[in-house]
Amino acid sequence: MTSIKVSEITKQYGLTVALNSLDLDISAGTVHGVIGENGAGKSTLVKILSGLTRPNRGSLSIGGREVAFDAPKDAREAGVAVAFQELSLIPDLSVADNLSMPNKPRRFGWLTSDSRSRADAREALAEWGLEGIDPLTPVRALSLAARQQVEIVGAIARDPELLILDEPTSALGQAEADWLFEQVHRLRERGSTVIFVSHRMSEVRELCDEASVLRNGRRVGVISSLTETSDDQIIEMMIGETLDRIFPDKLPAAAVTSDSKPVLSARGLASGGLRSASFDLGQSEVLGIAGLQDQGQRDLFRALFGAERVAAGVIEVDGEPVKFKTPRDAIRSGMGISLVPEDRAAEGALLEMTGRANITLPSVRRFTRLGWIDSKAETAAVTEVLDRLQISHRALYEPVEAFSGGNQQKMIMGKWILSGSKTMLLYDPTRGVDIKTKSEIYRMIRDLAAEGKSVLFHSTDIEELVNVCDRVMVCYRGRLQAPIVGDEISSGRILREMLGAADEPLPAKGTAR
Amino acid sequence: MIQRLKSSKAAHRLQVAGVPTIVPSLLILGVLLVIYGGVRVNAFSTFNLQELSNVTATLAILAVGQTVVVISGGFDFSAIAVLAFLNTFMVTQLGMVGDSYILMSALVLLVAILIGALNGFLVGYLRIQSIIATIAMFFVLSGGALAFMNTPGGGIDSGFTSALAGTWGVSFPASAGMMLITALIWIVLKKSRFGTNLYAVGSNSRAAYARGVPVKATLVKAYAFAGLFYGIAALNYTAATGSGDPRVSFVLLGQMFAAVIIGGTIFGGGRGGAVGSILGALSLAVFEAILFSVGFESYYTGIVFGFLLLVVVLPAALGPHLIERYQANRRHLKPDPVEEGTAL
Amino acid sequence: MNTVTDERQIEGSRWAQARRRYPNLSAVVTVWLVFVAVLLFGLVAGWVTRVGQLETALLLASFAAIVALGQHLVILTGGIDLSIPFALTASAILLTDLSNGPESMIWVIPATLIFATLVGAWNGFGVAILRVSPLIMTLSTNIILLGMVLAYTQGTPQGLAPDPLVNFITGSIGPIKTPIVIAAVITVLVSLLLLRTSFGRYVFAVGNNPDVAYLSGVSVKRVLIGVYALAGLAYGLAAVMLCGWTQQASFQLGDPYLFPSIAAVVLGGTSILGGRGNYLGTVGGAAVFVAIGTVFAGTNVPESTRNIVIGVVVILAVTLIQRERVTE
Repeated sequence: MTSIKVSEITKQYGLTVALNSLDLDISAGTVHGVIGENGAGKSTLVKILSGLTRPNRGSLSIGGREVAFDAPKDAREAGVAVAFQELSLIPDLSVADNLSMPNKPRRFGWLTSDSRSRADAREALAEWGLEGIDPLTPVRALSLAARQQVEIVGAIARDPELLILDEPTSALGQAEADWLFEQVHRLRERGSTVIFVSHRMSEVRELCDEASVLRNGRRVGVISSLTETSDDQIIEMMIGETLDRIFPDKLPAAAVTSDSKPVLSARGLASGGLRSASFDLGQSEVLGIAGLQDQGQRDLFRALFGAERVAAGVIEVDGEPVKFKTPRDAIRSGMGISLVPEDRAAEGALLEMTGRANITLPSVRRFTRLGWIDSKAETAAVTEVLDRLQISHRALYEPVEAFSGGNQQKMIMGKWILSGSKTMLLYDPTRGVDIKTKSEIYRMIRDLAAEGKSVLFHSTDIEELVNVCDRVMVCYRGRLQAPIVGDEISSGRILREMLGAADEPLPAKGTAR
Repeated sequence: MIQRLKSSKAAHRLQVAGVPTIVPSLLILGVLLVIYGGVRVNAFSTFNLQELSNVTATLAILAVGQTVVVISGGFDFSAIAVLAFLNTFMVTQLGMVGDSYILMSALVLLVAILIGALNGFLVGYLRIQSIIATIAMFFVLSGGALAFMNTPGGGIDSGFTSALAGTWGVSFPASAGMMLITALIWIVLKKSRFGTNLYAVGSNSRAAYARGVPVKATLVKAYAFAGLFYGIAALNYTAATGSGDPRVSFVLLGQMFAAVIIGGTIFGGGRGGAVGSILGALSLAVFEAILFSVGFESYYTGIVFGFLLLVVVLPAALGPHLIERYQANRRHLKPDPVEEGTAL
Repeated sequence: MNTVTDERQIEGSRWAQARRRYPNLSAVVTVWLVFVAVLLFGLVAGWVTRVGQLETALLLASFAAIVALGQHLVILTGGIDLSIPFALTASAILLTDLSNGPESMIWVIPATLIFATLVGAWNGFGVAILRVSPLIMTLSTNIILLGMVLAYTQGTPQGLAPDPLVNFITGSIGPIKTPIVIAAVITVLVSLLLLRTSFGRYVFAVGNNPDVAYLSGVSVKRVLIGVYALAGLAYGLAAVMLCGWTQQASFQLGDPYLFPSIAAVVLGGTSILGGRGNYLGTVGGAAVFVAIGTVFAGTNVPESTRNIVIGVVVILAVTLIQRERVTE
């Protein structure tokens, strides 16, 4: 039985203070939740506890013994095991090699033994309820959910004194999440202490004995009785103020959708995992697309933007059938389609380039004469966008990576506003964005619609769809279901369709997210 | 459908075990050998086979060293300078160890390992990009070679030459023996914990670090072992040429990367193997022998060879995209993620 | 209007701001300071005694800087160009071989430049369309060109550069040697191209993240082919100048430029991963490189020592640049 004590830990990255004199007390043998907004310091805390980074100040003690980790190896030796959100599995190696690394069993002194490592892995997988996974499969061949499960077993199977689960359910479906909870309960019975880092309130409630709330690198509250604290109270702790109006007003649905001509439509569209999608997006409409992971909605968005090959079906813009070979075709004037992609860092923003260069990337030619950029005109246009989005003018000269995730996302949307896009495809635009900016993005979406633009909006947060969209369609197993309109738009209804269980009763714990 | 799934699983297994990555290179070599047998009289006579082994050995062993570095996720441009440095070092400096070839060889290998470890230190500890670090080392080592001797020349004891460039027993070429030893060392390395760590670091060094793999030490070891292989190559090269040459060969640099590529090791790290690189080097030698046998002017071999290199990498370069596209179009055939979840 | 206050990255000092705004500034300044320091060292040590030596340094740096321009562009997109040796040699041999008499210059020089540009475009085609890794593609091109040069010359390069070219390149424009003037003009043009045109924007965007560029409507393939073709043109120009300088072409003409070109780019603070760098820094890197040689040229220190010093300087400089980046 091991208690954990974190005392006055401070961690700075350059000018950014990630953890500001953080204190944390975790009693032995409990499951302790750590919740907070993105950027609250959760991931830095995980990095410090796992030895990936060293704090500038402060101390850490495990079981009353003060420890200092120089490397993950030290943390492992001290009995800390971590299941990382970004997964620490090596895609090119087998599950068995991953589980045994870096201490693969040996024979004859020097040579490692594949058979023993395989047997060990099989045993560990079976013990923790994953007998379905073959230890010889290379990790790259596993589904994302299976990888996350292997990552978790890799940590649990070492029988740690302290287990850290960092957003462990991000790639898991409900069944796998239930599996995880079961394993955590088993582990607690064995006497391990568990830290459960999450932003999903329902999971923290279900799993944890108590929870700490982080904000701006500090602990702002400890919730010792999770059942007696309401979601609103916790949200208030997380964001530091009451946001009584996160969502903007919607226009009465009828005013928008009635007989406006569709600006973007699909008929039987198939591409990759998308088998058949038909929809009409009207002018000034916000059409929500809901769906569990991997139901084809990603391919839908990419195909509409010319980033994925269309296998069958037709895309129509203003009633005319169109074919996009590349995103250029979709962006160009006349089409005016834009995509805010899923992965901000990998597909959305040029992190090392200035906000200016990012915002004018698709439209730089407008400020160009004979190849020459008219700097003044560009600055004026970018300034206008920055003002509209309420982003500091620093973005004119400073790289995007110097801004918060929320501001980065606003700049990505800003670049399409500047390019004069008529139809915006927003793929989970609020992922990893703080609540305040989320609220701004919702308003932005409604403002754009009010200006006559059309928005296709996918989100993993059903509440967002319920509150922002005029109509919602659910993507299930590669097919787009009939639209849900008007008063029927509710999280319960959407979730039911997402689970493909429209006629079955709703499971009790299926709240948003 | 199920059948296909099973066979792909088997393929994955083999891939993990490390066997099939060399299959393409075996195929290439096989095809070339068939052509070679067809165009050359007495193609597989002892003499011709010895000759093939002799012209391949230096390149093959160098390529093994390069492969270790490539698997670790880097590139080693210093290899050709290491070769020149060790070669001139042997010819000019090793009079001091007297007649003992073993002592002499051991000393060369030791120096080679130290040079490699220095490369590894620059890459692992100072975190210099491997291309830059090894180019810097290239300057240092080529300077060192020039310091040992200004112009080609000098000589090495003929006993050393016959021991490492002659035949072992009646007709087994020493060069083939050295290639075998090299392959053996590699196989043992691959089976060690270092081997797993090497692939892990090359595949994803951040993840490897988080799993407790000593990334820096692994990199130092990777370059040090690469150095060891360059050392073996230098022994072979010096014995075969019998003299010293401070000039670095850029042609050799190109051939070395070509052997690694044909051997099935993928640039970027984490995948591939050094046995394939030996086969790749052999393929190059056979290829050249074929061109020679059909009376191709040696001037033209470069052109053909350059295009061959492209042809070899094209499937690998285009392949992933084709395969991805294929998979993307078939994704709906895969079991449903939700159902898969409930099954567990 | 700066109403967003949740940014925890505080504004920081003026210097910190300037460094964030011009991330390559300190690297460029540093490399030129090193250049001056090397010359001063030579002066103090008594190895540099004549103004002529400074001129020679700048002259050699001019050739190196124009070669390094091609490498610079390619590295900016995240690639690397190993075709330099025989792109240079083949261009030079083509020029001397085609030349017959002074007037032939009018078409021989454009022909050489076009040839070199096509070589570059072929590299770009392989990288952008065939999707071969830049290292392999350019390596293969180098080998093919080597074969072509050997086949074309049957082993012995012939011919001389036309006299007017020789006179022009070895002469002066005003008080300054022609190659230095050419290099200076090119530096200005290239800096403007990269920093003030839409093409330049696209080059940085592609180097920074080709996926983002693609999803923002940039034609990544066209940009890549354009960059490699421009790089080829730079090698062609360097080959023309080198021919004019030495009058002859040899097989070994290009070899000594390969690794130094990469080192110059890196010394100038350009990231080998692409997307970040300044050509002024690369020119500085080439100048440092040459300066080290020039300083030693006045002494009886052998070439070997020069190479070793260069290697050590590269390691030190890169370590320093990286330290700086980390503390940023």
